[in-house]
Amino acid sequence: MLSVSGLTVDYGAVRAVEGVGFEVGTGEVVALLGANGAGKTTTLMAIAGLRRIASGEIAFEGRALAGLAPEEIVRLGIGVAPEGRRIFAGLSVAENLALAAAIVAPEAASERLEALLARFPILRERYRQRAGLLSGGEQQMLAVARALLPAPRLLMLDEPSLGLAPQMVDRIFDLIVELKSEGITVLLVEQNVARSLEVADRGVVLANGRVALAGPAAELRADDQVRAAYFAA
Amino acid sequence: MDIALQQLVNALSLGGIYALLALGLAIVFSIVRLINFAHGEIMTVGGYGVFLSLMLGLPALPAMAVGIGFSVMAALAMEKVAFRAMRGASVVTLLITSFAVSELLKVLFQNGISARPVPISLPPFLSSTLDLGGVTLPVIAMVSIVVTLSALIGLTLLLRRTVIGFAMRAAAEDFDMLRLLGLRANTVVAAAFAISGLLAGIAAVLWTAQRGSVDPLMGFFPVLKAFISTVLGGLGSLGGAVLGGFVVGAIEVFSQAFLPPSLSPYRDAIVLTCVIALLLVRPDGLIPPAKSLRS
Repeated sequence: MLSVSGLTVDYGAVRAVEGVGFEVGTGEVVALLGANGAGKTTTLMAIAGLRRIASGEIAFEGRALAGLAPEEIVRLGIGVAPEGRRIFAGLSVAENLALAAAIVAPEAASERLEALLARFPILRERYRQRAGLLSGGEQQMLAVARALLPAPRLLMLDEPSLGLAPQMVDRIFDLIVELKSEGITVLLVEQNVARSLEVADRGVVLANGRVALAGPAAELRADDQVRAAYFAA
Repeated sequence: MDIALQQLVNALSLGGIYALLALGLAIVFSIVRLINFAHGEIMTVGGYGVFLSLMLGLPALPAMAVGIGFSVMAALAMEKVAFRAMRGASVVTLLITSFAVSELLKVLFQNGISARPVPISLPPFLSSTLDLGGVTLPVIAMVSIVVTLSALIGLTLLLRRTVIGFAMRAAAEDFDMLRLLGLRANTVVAAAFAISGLLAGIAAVLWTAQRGSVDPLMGFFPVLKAFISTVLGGLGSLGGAVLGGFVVGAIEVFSQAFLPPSLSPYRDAIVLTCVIALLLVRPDGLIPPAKSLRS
């Protein structure tokens, strides 16, 4: 479904990502792992069209994404819940969701909105409230709901569990499992390596902007290098 | 008391025009970080639109509508031709671009139309006065207040009740995120410019109706005051721009009305001193723009 090859991204003179390549198959959950500054978010933003790529190729369902504006990439069927949630704090929950529904036909939009409010009941309770007043977990639910509203075939989640209470972290990872069972492909960027490898089919570990390790989640969980780097504590 | 009421009406009338212009500047700034100094020329285009329409024999009201339409088209054309290619550039680059567009248009007006003011004759009732309970008030000032308030209410409804309004408010918080929801950047930015053009067009009609002429520098000075208003209100804050416009208008009118004649040459200096004093107390402006509450 998603193919990334030889991806290189620069921030001015600094090379943030170099020669990164991986595949995400239809229906899979792939975890993009690594420490802070490894290049995970840069890779995700390059796929989403918000970072200009220096070289390499990105293709979604066989279509090259390079040069496309972020809004066109999203309209191809990719949903993004970015790092830090980035909900519109000054808008209500309803207005945040209305914006996500703007690219969907009105009949389908109201149906999907209803389904999402059933999935995230807290958003129905807070529907008229300003999104900036929601708790961190509720904001994350809103960010995911917004990304899911246009019914993307690929959902990219960037650090969805960051800064959340343990109960909410459980809810996030349960949600990823639910989405997978519904056939939604997920590219998950996370620092919580242990939990990510529990829900992912495969993992790609980045270090210093390059792919350090890649393989099935079960193998990575058993890998000494991964265990030493991420499970030691 | 009568004089105070008359001056209050004048202050609301002038402040309303500054508020409309300041709001147009703030809407564009909040989304694309552009302080558009060519906004004054958008207003001037509106004035010439009214002039041209009257010259071609259109009645006053349709001529005013045409003038407003000219301003909207000028704003959209400016965005497409001059600013779209510069999107994402630094604030300084955008500022210089807007100065260049402003100067270019001023020269075009001077050489293509006239460097001198051209008279506009609007219906006589606009320059008449109204007697309200013994207080004589200029009709045009009352009309300006009503039109300004209607425009502000209309804009509030647009921003609060429509998806394009939500998109503009969201873009002011996080434009990239809005694009990650699939909303087209060009549409949102063009809508912001169209609204700023509409507000400048309304301001142009009110300004020309009050002064009875159009000249190439017509928009320059009011937009300068509008810029001061946006800074005073809190750069990027829409509510702040409106409040700043009314405050600057009020300081200007009241200082002219109540200061001794010997101080009247210093009117603008007094206005700016008051603005500086207010900014010393509230450095982020009267109503600072809402910051995104990202976790």
